[in-house]
Amino acid sequence: MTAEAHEIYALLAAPLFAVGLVGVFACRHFLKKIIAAKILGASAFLLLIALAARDHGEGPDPVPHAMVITGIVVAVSAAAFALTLARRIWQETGQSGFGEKP
Amino acid sequence: MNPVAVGFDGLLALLILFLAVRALTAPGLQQPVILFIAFGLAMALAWARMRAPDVALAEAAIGTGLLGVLLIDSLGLFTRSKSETPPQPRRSRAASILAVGTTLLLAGGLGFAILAMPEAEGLAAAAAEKLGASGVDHPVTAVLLNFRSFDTWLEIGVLLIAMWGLFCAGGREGFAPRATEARPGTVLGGTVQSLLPLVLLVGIYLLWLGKVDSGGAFQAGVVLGAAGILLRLGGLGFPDWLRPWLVRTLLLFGFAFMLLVGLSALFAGAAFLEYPPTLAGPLILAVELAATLSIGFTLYCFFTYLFDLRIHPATASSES
Repeated sequence: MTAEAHEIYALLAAPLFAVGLVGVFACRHFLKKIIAAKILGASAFLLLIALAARDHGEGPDPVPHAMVITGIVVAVSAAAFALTLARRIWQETGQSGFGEKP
Repeated sequence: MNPVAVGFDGLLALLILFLAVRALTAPGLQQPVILFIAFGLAMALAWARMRAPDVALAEAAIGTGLLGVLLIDSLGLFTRSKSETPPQPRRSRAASILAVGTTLLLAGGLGFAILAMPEAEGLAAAAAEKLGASGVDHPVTAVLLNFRSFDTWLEIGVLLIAMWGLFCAGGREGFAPRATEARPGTVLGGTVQSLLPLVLLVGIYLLWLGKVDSGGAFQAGVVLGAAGILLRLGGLGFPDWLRPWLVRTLLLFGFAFMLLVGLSALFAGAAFLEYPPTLAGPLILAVELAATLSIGFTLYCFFTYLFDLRIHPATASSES
């Protein structure tokens, strides 16, 4: 695989990060905020792997790979916790986002 | 340079971006969740294209599979009383322009920064040099469970803390008492029954494979956790013999086992979690087994806890 292809994925990380960051603030519903935060995280992982692949060409660098695998598990743990909080808020107050009238 | 490959990567990148934007702008909740799952699968394909099969497996299994199940389960909760919620006010035109403008500006600036990033040396050479002493033949497993095993230990700790957080935020410690539930239809029950042995086989195979190829504790743990989730969906609730103390032991096991291994290394005069090269192989396998057990069980508990909470909500009496 050529270096140009890795550039494509490295560049994809930029708009993906922007979409995720704006989504975290602009989306109203908790569920959508969680999805936006996951997209934000995915863009960081994407950049890490794509840059490592770009700089090495042959033979991927195992260190960023291991970091990203660790990161994916941590991101899902955080998302599961956020989901529990959102569901509890919904059940207790009937609110599905911040600043809503119950 | 292969134009077909570059064209494929370009299309895949556009698809990923499109799915991400649509997941956040689509109306309602069902569409965003389904689009997000599609986004995760497209990402897994991108990992595979970048020759990161370990990451692709983790993304497809945990990032998309498990979180997708949790999101779909929440869908039922949030949309149950949709008719009662008042309609949300429309976003003003200025706010939409501001959101789109910020996104474009941020994307442009970051893209420029990424292009200007200098090439880095990386640690591939250092990792390859020490691979022989690590006890395994797959560089990613060597980094995860030997060179940077401290990170992996703390990551299992994060899973443990997350489960703890779930217990706190959910409003009920522990699991719902076994309740009589409707038996699943023959199709679902039969599918779960015939899939289960295969899922267990794949999980154990992935664990073993981590020594030489893409696989290992996380991927195996997720597959085993998925087996539990299938069982739960198939109508088999939390088994009666899983007493609360046993649940806690299983949740703690991976973390505690790695701590013990690390401490024994300290007492033997080595660094924390430093394996002697002659024992590295068997030690890594033991640590992986313990980690797989705890990871799989924790992920299963993530789902089961939230699923039970939706079916049998925590009441004031059970909170005490």
